[in-house]
Amino acid sequence: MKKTTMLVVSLLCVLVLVFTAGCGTIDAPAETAEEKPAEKVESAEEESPAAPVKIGIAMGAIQSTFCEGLRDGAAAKVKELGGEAIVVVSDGDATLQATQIEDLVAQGCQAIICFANDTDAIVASAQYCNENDVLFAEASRISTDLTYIDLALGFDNKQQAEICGEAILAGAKEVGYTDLKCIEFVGSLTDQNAIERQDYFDAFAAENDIEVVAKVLTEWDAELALNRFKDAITATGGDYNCIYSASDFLFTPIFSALSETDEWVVKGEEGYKIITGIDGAPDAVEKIRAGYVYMVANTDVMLLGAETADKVYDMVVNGTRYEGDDKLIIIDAQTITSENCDDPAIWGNNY
Amino acid sequence: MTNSKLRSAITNKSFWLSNIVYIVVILAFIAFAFINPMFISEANLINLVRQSCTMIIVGIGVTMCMLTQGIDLSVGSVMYIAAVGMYMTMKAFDGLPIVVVMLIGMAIGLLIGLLNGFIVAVLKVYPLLPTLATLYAFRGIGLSIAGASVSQMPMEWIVIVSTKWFGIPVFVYITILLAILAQVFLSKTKLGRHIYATGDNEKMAREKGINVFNIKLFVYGMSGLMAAVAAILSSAMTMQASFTLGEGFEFKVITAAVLGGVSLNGGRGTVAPGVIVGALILTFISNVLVLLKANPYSYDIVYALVIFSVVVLDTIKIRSEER
Amino acid sequence: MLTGGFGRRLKFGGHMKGFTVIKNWIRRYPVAVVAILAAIGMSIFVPGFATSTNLTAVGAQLSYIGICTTGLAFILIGGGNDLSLGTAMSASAVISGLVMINVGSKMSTPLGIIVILLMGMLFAAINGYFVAYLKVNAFMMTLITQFLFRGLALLLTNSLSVTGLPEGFVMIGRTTILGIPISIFVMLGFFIVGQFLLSKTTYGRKLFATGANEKAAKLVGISTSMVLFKAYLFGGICNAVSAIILVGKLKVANPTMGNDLFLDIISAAVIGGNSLFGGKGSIVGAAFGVLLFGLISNGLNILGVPYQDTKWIKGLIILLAISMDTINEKLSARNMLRFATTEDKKAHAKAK
Repeated sequence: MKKTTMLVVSLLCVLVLVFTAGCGTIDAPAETAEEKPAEKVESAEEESPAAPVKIGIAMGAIQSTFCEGLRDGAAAKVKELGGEAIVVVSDGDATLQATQIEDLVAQGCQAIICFANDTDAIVASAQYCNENDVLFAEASRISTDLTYIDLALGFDNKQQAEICGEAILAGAKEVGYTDLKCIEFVGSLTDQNAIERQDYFDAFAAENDIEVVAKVLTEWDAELALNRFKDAITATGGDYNCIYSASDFLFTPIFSALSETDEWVVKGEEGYKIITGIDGAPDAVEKIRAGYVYMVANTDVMLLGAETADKVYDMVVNGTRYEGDDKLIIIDAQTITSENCDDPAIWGNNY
Repeated sequence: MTNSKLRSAITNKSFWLSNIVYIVVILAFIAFAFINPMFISEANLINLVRQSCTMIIVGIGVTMCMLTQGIDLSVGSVMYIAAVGMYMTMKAFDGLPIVVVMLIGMAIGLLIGLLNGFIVAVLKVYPLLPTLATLYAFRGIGLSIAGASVSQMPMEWIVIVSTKWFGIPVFVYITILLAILAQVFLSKTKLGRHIYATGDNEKMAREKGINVFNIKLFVYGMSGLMAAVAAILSSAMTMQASFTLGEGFEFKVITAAVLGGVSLNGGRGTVAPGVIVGALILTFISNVLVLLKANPYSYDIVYALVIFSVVVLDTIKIRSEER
Repeated sequence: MLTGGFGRRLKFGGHMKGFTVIKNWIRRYPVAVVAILAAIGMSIFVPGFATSTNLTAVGAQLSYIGICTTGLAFILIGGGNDLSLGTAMSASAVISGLVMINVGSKMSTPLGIIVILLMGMLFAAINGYFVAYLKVNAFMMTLITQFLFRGLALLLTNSLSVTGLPEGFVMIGRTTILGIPISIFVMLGFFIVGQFLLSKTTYGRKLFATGANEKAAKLVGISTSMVLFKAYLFGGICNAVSAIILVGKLKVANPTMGNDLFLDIISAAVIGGNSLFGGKGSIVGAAFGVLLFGLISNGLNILGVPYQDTKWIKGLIILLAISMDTINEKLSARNMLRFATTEDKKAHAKAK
């Protein structure tokens, strides 16, 4: 009796698998319309060539609108070009991402666009793709070792950090702050971008008389950021007047903490903090428009995603290859302040 | 305490085992007040209490489960699903009054808690593994519903944390009120006493005619409900239904409960003052770590060591009592 | 004299002919049937599954989980549990990695192997001591150590991966013979050794006895604490070997690399018939549990099921596995009771 029960329940497990198999392979445009944005984007089959180019998009954790924009920009471009985009998300787990990339290769992808959890660990996956004749491109998160990577597109972290620093100086002149004390929000240290944004800002601050009174290690997590920010406020006794955030998705916990101390105010009012950040996400632009945030560095992440997808597609179909320094393509950032926040070209206004 | 009572207390090994943690904490508190006067500033103390609130609220529910010799590891994920549920509700129905949204969130938490309770009551194994499974399951379902997108709460949601009475946020008063109500319920009502009885000795409780199945449904339902309330608070603090909302939180809550005297073997412990004290101690520890500018990665180790000492001391005490 | 459910296990590999052997085998390990059916089914219905690229990838993915599950099976059979296996894996790897890059000589690979084995055993010994000797609740203890090891790994590395590991160490997990990764052979080796230890040695019998009914086992003269402690140590060794293979996969020592594997490991073990209540199970079962669970994971990935859905599907599966386990336990509880009582009676009679 008990063996039969075991058998029955085990078969149920397999049924679950078969069921999900059925869901996955059925072409369901209705399903993709319901879900936000489609996980499996099929090409317009009437017009495309016999076998659509399969490109895998391996995302790390989706922690902010920035990540979403990257994913959507890339997936949309692949679809537009007539290819098939397969998106996987690995939520911060380096081992899972490596496994997912192996599985994407097994599915027959000709190229992988990767937003890595850990830029050091991802090199092994790049090598794996190499060995299997699959192209490997990195978007935004770029490894220090590019030997096995076929293409890497990213933003200039140095430039971004510095324009934020300059904005703080400009803002200080506007509102008349002389003694600049800054709380710095640092991203996850497994992210090369976070490291660079921290280091270059620190260098700029040292040369320009901005004192970094506290660092909030956020690990790219809003809750951690909030708690540690509050602790930093306590540790500094509330004595700071500007903020630099490695990503502007952290503006929301900042808004929350400052609301509690009644310091979420517009320029000129008492307790105003000069807030700067990087990314240019929609809600950050909104906060600039409303007057609470001073400036963000605009990084057009949808453009980044689309550009990467475009070049990768070209590499697959036309055999283009990049060598040496050409592998690394840097996209510039722009400054967004209350003066130009309504510019329609900003990705934050279009997402 | 009279002299002889004091002397017998100090020589009693059991006394030390039970209370050494509190004594250490009090000493540490006094020490830190001297080292860094900012520590006992009004702002910092209010901060301490504020940061403990989510832990206390969830602690109410988890304590009830622990009292029945069970445990609920899935609270973090329940918090997340409730937050996602509320976000989706607000997105779907513009202009719904906040109170309604909160009620919907609590209903979600309650339902999921009842589901948890059903699973635990039916499966006779120690609830650690089932609630571990539901931890993953609910997190996954929540992520699925959220559709892999960042869920920002609408601006009005901030009132939950920004409303204040006499300089202290309203939610602090509510938290303490909830904890006191819960304790009164546990100590004074029949159902409350049944909960203690179930944890003490399930077989005997059953023989006495207590419906253990219903009790389990109840406590896990409460756990889910409390998790949802905490989710309201937490999501208002970060203004997001963040992907990682509640992740790892269950561990902190259990630590707070055990610190506050709730026994892992059931039947013993209080919400007020137990869990409140436990949560405050834990927040105090993290506060100290911050003021000491300790490496943030050491926090987890410190928490783990704290609960480790308490668990080991508790076990030693139980074994020595058994002899 | 040991009777009941016990005796049947001892008879495994006895002298029964052909067809009966297979039939018996199927009845004992229904997981095997399901796993094999799943494998066949997937080869036919799931595109991309039966390719050499995928199969070698899956094999490699299974290896680190399989070896670890062997260790966990031992611990479960002995009546214990270990939730910290995943984070212990990361911590051992990281510590070993740090040692290797700081020593930086020709001896670094062998040194690294020694360190990782020692760390695996140390972490296991901590768990084993408190659970087996001090009788701290296994779930609670290993939940705590899970966080302890996780924090340790993050603290030592500031959450950065340890890079620049010696080539020799990394290649252990990546070497292939005829295109098949040797890690699969290592896994099979562990399966065989593990099953042998369980079914053919005195230790194995003692382990089952300890897990089935500790008091009774003690009365018969088995030093149950030592038996369980040894199980934990074995688990630690398995864990360390898995860690070596995992480092080979990522080529760096990432401080959180093993943390999420725990769910897969315990699911595989329980699906494979290793009861959470102790005293029951096998490595053969665990092996097929690993296969089945690995197939499900791979299938979900290949079919492009979104990550969040795989989470709750896996949660559901482990719930199903636990239900199976509980139903089994209830149905055999009567047998256990009889067995224990007979033993108790005999021991009692001896003691008089």
